[in-house]
Amino acid sequence: MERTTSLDIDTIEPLGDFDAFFHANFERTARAAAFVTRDAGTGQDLAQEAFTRLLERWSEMTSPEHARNWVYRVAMNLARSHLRKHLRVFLYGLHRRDDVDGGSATTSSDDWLEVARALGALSPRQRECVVLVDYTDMDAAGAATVLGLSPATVRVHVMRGRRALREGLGIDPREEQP
Amino acid sequence: MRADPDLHARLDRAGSHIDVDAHRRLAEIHAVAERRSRTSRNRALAVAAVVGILAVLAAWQLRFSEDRAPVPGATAGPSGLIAYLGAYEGSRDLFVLDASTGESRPLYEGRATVLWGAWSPEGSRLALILELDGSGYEVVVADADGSDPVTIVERDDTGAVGPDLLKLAWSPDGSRIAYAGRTQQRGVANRTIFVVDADGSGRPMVLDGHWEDVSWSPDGRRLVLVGFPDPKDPTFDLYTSDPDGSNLARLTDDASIERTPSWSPDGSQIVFSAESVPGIFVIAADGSDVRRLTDRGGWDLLPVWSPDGAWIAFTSDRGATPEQQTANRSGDDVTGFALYLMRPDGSDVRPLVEEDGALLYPTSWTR
Repeated sequence: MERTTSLDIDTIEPLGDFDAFFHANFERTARAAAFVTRDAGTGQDLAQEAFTRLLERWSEMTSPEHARNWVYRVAMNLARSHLRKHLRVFLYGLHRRDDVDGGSATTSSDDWLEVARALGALSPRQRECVVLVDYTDMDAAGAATVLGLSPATVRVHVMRGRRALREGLGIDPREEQP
Repeated sequence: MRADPDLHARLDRAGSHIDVDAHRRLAEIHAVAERRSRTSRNRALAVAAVVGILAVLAAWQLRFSEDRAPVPGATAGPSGLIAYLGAYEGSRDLFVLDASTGESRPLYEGRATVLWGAWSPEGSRLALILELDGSGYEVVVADADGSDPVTIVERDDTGAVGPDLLKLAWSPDGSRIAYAGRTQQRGVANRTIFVVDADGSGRPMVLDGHWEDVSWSPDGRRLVLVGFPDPKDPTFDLYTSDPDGSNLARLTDDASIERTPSWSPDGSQIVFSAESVPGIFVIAADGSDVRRLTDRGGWDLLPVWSPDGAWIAFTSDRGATPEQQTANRSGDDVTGFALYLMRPDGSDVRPLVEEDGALLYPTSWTR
């Protein structure tokens, strides 16, 4: 059963203050952006900018879910913009290179490097969809709202991205369960 | 659609290794938001800034439409040899194009993938960046036809620290080669410019700062660099410096990201591409004047001057399909880039080499 992201007026959580929302959501947003950009430091920088913009719009947020979708949307947009800016690496022939910052002071764990390298086999859009659904636990409709896509398109990207990511991580193929 | 439990677990585990300094980030968020708020409150300054920007834009626009300077060699067709890389599905090769006849042939067919190729100024040697087997890079100098390559920058077996090369540029006297590579400083990865003797002797000179691209002035006394000297202000701009990185002079100071500069043969101008404001631009070598040469129809990159200064070769997806252009912008794919020529004033744009689905871009032009 597809979960829904539509707001139910009876179950709206109180928004609370910004700092509490930040502490509850920043790390996951930063890591999601890190997966999409495949760069741990960049992910945190982009999440920081997204939360800065959120703070500036905090009075317009109606619920934690609203704020969460809003900040993920900004973070993903920033990640996409970041990837566009770095499209130059394709023109320099680095697209076949593992563009993972293995020497980063942020992390050099094998787990991170393996996942970041495997994510390189996914298109940026597939990465966004897989990360939102399989890491942040959004459903397809929620991811579609964040990314400005249709839920059906998100599902297609997720299925293709999962296939590539599982293969890259050496996980046995899995029967897709919509 | 529910989360894939296997992938969820792997992503969770990988993400847990990313150290997040939430308290510092939160403090910075409040500080930045407060600073932006103060800025927006200062309406008088904002209005003045907008007026100033509009004035600059208007002046800039005016320059586009002004009469253009005479083009050297305006009556002659292009001549000489253009080296260009052709990237296809799963392969990459270096070709040479006779600019006067339009005929192409492979230039280097060796044991490794070519990532960049540039002739020495006199045209007798060819420097190549090679990717050996997907795990290492080296710089070789060969004869002009690619034969007898000699390694001048060895592959770094340690992996994390190494050339990790982007592109290279010869000094005008042919004695040195500057290349953009990656290094590590205090455990943090950084890109910068290395300068080595073209015969491989001596140790590389490493420029301070974060630099991702380089070109020599024709008199060999200055470099043009792309990047930033101070990591606290990571704004990509054009700078010039002495060949050892000293005497930095900032040429641009804007929100755009400048790329791939190439110094004109007469030393008066630098052509470059930009990303945030797509197009190819020229700027006076002292930074006093900027003009936009291309501004429509596609993404134009990697301009290279002809030796006589009469032409500029570049790559563009202006002839690609809308689907290819969309994929190029989104980063989903990079195809449909062809070779083009134009005059240094942006006129007389003409296709040079086009191949369906390929990514073609110029790297060097010699007589």
